[in-house]
Amino acid sequence: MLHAEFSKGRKWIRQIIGIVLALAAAVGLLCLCTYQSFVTTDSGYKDVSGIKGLSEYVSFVHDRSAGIFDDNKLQAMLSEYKENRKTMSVEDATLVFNQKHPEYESVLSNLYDDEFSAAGEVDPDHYDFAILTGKPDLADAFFRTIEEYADATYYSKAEITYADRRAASVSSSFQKGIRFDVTDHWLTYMSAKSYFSIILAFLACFLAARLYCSEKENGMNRIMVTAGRREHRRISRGKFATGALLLAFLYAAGELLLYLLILRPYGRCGWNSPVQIAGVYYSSFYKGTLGQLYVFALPGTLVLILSIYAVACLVSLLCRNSLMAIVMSAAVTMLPTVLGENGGLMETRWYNHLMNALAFTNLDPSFVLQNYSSFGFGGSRMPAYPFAVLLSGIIFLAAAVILPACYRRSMQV
Amino acid sequence: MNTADDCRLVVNQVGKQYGKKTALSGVSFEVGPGLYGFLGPNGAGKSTLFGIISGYIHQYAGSVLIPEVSQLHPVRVGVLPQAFSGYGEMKVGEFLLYMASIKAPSVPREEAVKDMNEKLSVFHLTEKKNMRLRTLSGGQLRRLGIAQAFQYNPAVVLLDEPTTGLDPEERISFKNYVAEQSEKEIILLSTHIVSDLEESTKEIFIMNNGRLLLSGQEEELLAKVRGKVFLVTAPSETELYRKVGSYKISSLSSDGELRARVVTDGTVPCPGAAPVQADLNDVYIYTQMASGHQQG
Repeated sequence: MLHAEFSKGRKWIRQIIGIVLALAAAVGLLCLCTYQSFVTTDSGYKDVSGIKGLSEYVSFVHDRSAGIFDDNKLQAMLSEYKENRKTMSVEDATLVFNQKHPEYESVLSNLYDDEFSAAGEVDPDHYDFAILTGKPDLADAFFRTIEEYADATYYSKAEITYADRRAASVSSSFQKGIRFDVTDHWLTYMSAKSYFSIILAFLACFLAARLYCSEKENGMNRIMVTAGRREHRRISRGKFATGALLLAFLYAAGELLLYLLILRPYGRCGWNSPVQIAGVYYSSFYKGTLGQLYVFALPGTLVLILSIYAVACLVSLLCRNSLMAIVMSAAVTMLPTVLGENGGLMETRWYNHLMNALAFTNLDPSFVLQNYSSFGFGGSRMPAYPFAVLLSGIIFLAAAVILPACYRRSMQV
Repeated sequence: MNTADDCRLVVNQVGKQYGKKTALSGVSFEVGPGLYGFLGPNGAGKSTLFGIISGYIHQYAGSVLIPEVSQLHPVRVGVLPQAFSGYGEMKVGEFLLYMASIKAPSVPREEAVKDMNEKLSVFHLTEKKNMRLRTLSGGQLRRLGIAQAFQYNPAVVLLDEPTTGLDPEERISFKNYVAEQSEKEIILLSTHIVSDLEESTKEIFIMNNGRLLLSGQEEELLAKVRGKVFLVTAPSETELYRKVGSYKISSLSSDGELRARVVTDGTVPCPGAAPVQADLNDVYIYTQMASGHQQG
């Protein structure tokens, strides 16, 4: 049946493969071309952008910052920064610091700025570094803030306790020293991966609609209903497998393209850096490295996309035409995320928990570890991303069982 | 194993409602192998009835009993829907083998290939075997649709407007094949084209508004309109309609002057109107007239 499904859709399958791979390459190139950062020079800052800019940045930062970063090095850099602050303005002290330690500047200059510390205000993006380095004053400020949040909506007591425990654990590993390296290419890659995953999510809805509505649209269902239940199960399994295999192939091919475009030329370093080094993971409690995250997120994202496909198949089973099926599938799988992000629903805890469990939300790799929000089931904390992947896997398997059982009925009126 | 005697299709008080609209009401008949024609205007309920028999329509009133699968009939029902397009990207041979694998998975592949070759030959599609469906003409596609409906000699074959798009030669070929198959299969044929049913049908069912209005053998039906069909001639259209009045014209031809077959309730429509031998088309018009349906 798998072969038959591929035969039925020869033309459009070929077109889809071409379009999706072209889009993957376009997304990768677009993310490289729109790269923007800056490097410090003797005369100040210099903006760098595009592919050439990324190369320049990688060389600039790697030469100066790569290596083991531990508590002693941190203290030495802080002393140097504080010494400069006695005679310089914040801007000048930051510039001098960045010339010498470019990769750490954005974190440390904000964290240890006198004005911020005095007001007890710490840039929330840098809380993670407080935890990473185990600085008690900053960690306290961090926990005070999330306790205030907890009263409102976001964190539970169990979550704060968990965060506290994790912070201590990460801090202790920092004492031994962590690998610190260039990571801007990771942000470019994650951005491209995120866009590509969203393209695949839409493709999943299209594939499901095309596979499960085509018979209803061209009238072949009037003939198909005369077949036995067992044959309908076979047909449905063939359809489901066709879409899943096509998605898996396109995901693998697209990821390979992104790897070749971004990680292969620029990703020679940073694989062993802790995830907190990459800007989007500042507030993560995850102890792993970027390399581990990459390896984990690769199959994880595929499972998430497959679960979107599974839901779209179930929706398509109920629809009479492809267009309606695509719209309905997209609404069911994507609307909660869009509403949550734009409608203020993220402020409510139940919605936040629901969002964390949704496949589409987790397609954005920055979400994988950024929030590390819990579900707090039974008071015990669970990592959001692995839970979402697990849930997605269950949805996919459930659909693989439900779809064949309901397929024949969907052909009838 | 089923014998020809066991091969009976029983439709008992079948009805179907779409909201408040009655698509089919109290339809009953029992038939054995043979060709059965279903005549009726659009919306008469023919497609609904076929949908119920094929299993396409899930919920309905009454019951339908279809012969079980047997060695003689490895497939219970074969269907040619009114709109048949198949899968455009499949090749003709590939399509037939795929349909065979769905309809009768237990039949060995050699049998499937043999059956495919036979159907391709009967419907003059052998040369098109390796062509994709999207490249076929309307008539070729229709023939392929008919071929798949007859795959593995189903116990019941439902043909909805099968001759649409067929040229006269193909139509004759189709009629001959159907006549031959009707000796061992129950073939229900729905059509607007009355000539498709002439001479070969075992029984004709005339439907309107979801009901069976009339049924019987061709001769029985013709007897009902005997003496009620007249030939009216007129030099112009205006003159013709003046002569015909409120009666119905079953067919119109022009041979220098206009010649119309007029169906009445037995009354001579106008002076000079000559009684003629009734045909099935006249029966159809008469039935629609009687049921109050206004046909042009």
